[in-house]
Amino acid sequence: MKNTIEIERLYESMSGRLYNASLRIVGCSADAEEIMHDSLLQYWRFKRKDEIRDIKGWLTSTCIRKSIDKLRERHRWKDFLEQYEDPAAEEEEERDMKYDIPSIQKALYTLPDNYRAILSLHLFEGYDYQEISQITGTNESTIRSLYMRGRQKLAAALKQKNS
Amino acid sequence: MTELERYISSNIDAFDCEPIPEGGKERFMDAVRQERRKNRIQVVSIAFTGMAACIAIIMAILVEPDISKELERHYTRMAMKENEILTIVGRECPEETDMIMNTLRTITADAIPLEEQLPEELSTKEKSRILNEYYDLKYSALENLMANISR
Repeated sequence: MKNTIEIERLYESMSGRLYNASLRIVGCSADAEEIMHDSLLQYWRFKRKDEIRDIKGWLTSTCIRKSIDKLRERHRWKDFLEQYEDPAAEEEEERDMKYDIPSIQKALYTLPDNYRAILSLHLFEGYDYQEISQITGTNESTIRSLYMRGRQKLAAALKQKNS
Repeated sequence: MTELERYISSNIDAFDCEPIPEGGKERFMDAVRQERRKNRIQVVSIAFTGMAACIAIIMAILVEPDISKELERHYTRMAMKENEILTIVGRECPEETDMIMNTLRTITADAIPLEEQLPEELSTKEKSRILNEYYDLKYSALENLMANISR
């Protein structure tokens, strides 16, 4: 599949999905675009394409791994884990909250990188805690409490916007 | 599952709505073109390397080694190493000069040089291989000797 039409078609069908998945993790438009390009080019270069049964899944997981690597590259992951303290488990009260997509998107981008990354992986990409732990190289219980904390922060940010 | 999680999960596709920055597709197609150029350069360089390897193999098969030149090279480098050894011995431990010279003679001198003992029916290539192995061995013995007296 080395011709221009095919790679253009692949770009048309997958670029939005990959760009948004990456953007939610890295939080930077230029980085997300570069990661989306790299993921598509990696697929294009891949010799045994016949072995890939789910192209969308392959591209998405490649893109997500590259996005996590980008956070690692910035050393933000390690710094974050060093500064992180396990919070007392308290759930935000969410009753009577009205949600809409633009508000959630905005609130998501107010979160620190790594909360946003974990929320994205679990909420938007459907990875479970064990898978996130493998992708990020962080233990599962830390991921679980980071997720809980991230969700509280997201809910609090939304509440603030609503009030 | 909280209300928020339920909301996100039921509207999941609608969240992929951030538009790609303007000119994104052109930048991607540029990257594709660059990738193609890189691949072409790689193919050409592989072809050149392959051709060079083939030529080298053909040359090795067709070109006969020049035994007299090879022997000259072996004798010269052995003589140079012997000189280095004798210089070190003269400087560091002159009292051992006789013993070292005897060792040098044992290593380098042959009553009848190997090249004169090789059967005529051997090909030039085979003769060259045997002689190279033989004189390389002598040279490495000289190197070992030098390493020992330098300590």
